[in-house]
Amino acid sequence: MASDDAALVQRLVAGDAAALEAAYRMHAPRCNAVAYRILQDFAAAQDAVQEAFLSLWRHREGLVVRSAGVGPWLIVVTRNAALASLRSSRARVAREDRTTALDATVPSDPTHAVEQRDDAATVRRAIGQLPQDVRTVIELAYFRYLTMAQIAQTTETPLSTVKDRAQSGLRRLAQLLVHERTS
Amino acid sequence: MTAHPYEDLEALALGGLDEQTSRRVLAHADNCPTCAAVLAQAMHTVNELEPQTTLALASRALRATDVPLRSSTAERAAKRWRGVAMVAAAAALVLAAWSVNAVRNAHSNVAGPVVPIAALVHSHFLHHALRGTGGSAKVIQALDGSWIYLVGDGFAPNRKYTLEEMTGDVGGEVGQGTTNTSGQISGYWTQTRRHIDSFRLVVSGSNPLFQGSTLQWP
Repeated sequence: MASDDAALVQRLVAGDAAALEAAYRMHAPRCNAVAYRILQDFAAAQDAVQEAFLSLWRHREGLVVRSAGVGPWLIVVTRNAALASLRSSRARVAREDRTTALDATVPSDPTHAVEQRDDAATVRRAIGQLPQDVRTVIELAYFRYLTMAQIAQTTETPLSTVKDRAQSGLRRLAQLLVHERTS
Repeated sequence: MTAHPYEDLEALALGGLDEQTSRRVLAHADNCPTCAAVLAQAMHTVNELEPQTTLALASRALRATDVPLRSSTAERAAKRWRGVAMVAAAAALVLAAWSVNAVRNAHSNVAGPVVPIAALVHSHFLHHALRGTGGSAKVIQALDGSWIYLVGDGFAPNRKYTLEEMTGDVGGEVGQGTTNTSGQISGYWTQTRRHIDSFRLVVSGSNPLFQGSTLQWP
C-alpha cells in the first residue's frame, strides 16, 4: 500500500471526513473512468462512483479497506456498482442500444485491454499461463462482465466449479505476477 | 459471525456476484480478518488487470459521444464531491449511533471471537505457525512481505505484545499491540517489500516475576 494511501486509511478509520474528500480527489477520476468504460454513460458512471465513495465511508472501519488500501478497494467497489447498474433491466435495455459502442471499447481478445499498461506484457504473460478453463472464467467475468451464474450457464459448468476456477485463477495470477516481476 | 464465504471472495473482486451477495460478502469481510486478507489480495490482483489507460480511453469515448467535458478532472471531482459530502455527513450520524452499540457489545463480551484462527485458508500468500508457549499465533504475510497479519488466541488478556522479524542478518520490529479482553491478538501492518526469514512474537507477562511468552517461526 502506498504511504499516502496508508495515511488516508488511518484518517478514514479515525472518522476524518476530510479524508473522504481527499480520497475522492485522489481516486475519483480513475473510478469515473472504470465506471464509464462499463456503463458508457457519464451520469450513470458518476452515480456508481458516488455509491462507491459512500460505501467507503460506511466500510471505513473494516479490515478490507485497511488491508486492500483505498485505491484497489474503490476500483473494485466502483466496478461492482457499475456492473450492478448495468445488470439492472433499465441498463440492460440501454446496453443493447449501445452494443456497437461497447464492443468498440472491449476488444475481441480481452488481454488486449491491458496492453497499453507499462507492464502490460507481464500481465498478459501471466494470464496466458493460466489453464484454458480457468482463463475463460477470468475473461468472461472481468472483461465480459458476466456473473458467476451466467458463466456457469454459458459454459454449461456447475456453479461451484466456476467459482473454484475464479478462485484458483486469481490466486495463480497473483503468484505468476510476483514471479514475473522478481525473476 | 456468519459462515466464511471463501468461495465468493475472488468472485466479488472480479465483479462476478449479484449486488445483494456482494454486499453480504463485503460486510462479512469487514469483521473477519481471514476473509479480509484473501479479499484484499484478490482486489490487488484485480487492480492489476484494470488498464492504467482507462482514464484516457474514457476521455476519448466521452469526446466521441459528444458529452461535454465542462471542466478539468479536478474541478469535476470537486463539484461531484459536494453531493457525496452531504450524504457522508448523514452517514456519520448513523455510524455514531452504531459505534455506541459496538462499544456496549464489546464491554458485555457479546461479540464472538474476531479472529477465526482455525479457519485459515491456504492460498498464494504465506502463513506461518509460531511455536512457543502461552498461546497460539499465526502470521499471514504477502509473498513479497509488504503486508503482515498477526492473529493469535489463548494468551492472557490485556498484555502488550511485539512482533519482530529477521531479514537476513537484520532484525526489526514489525509492530506492537495489546491482547484483547479474551486474550486474542489481531494485528495488521504494511511495510516495504522484503524477504522475511523469521518471526518472533513476544507477549509480556502479567507481572515482573513472570517473563511472559515467546513464540517464533521457524
